Amino acid sequence: MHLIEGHILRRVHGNAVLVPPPEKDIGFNGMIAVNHTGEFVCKMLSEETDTESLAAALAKEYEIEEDRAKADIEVFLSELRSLNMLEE
Amino acid sequence: MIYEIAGLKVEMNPKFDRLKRQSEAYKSLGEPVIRINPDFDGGLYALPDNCTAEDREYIYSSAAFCREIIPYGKFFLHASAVVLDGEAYLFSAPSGMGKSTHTALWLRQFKGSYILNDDKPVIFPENEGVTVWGTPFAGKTDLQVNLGVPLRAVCFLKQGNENSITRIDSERAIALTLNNTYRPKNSEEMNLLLDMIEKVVERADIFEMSCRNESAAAEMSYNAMKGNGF
Repeated sequence: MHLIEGHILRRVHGNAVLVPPPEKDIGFNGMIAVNHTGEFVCKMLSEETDTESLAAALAKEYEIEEDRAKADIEVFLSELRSLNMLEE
Repeated sequence: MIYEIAGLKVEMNPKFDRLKRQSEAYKSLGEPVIRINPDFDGGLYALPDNCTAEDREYIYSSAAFCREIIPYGKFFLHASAVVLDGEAYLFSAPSGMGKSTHTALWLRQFKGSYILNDDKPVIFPENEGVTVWGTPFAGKTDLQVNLGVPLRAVCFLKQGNENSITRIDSERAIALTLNNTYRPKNSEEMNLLLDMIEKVVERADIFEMSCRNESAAAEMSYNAMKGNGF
């Protein structure tokens, strides 16, 4: 899985924001403000990856249990999925 | 016909009275950088029921203008812009939320205040500061002046029966600004727009308020946005 092609992930005045691809109409035209963890995950999701790899990387980066990292990631992924921001 | 709108030379050839009349004060000469196609369907707003050809020309031209100005480092905000003591105060919200109603309170309350634009002022983050421009695209009330004025503050309106105003953080300010402007259809221009929004939230105070239609609400928003404490 990866973030939808053409998405924009950047900082605006220090805030990490994820914007749907301007060229496409995916039924969502807001923006998602993400925290540090979210930004970390989004950067990884800019390329093809899977839940296990994301959980392992997140657990290592933030020194948390892999199970907890996986649970957090699944919540985040389902939010992205509901906004049509994921390609799987 | 050449017009100068928000500091940009624009070619527009209105056939109908509404656009002709609203653009009259913007007539200019010279080489245009923007050419307005009156048939452009910008998808900015749905056309109202029973829309006349005259209204369609106005709506499509305004949508085309709002789209074309992005590469020139300018963007429009869906807002009513009121000027007091040489500074612009912007009240932004989707249609029907009471922008114009609130700025009409300012006109009654504060001597010397006037409406710069009642629907689509243009925002221009310059090297320093931010300038707000009047445009011919002023919505139903046609209140507009062909002037550029320094921005003082922006306030987004929300539903509510109480008079209440709060300063908002940049994350919310960015999201609300994005919701009340034209969204570019390519990444390059979207990034340009985000760069511009970044400058606005850096340089201006941004608020959110709910309010009643009464003079106390105008006093409240003025004191907060002017920075007099509240």
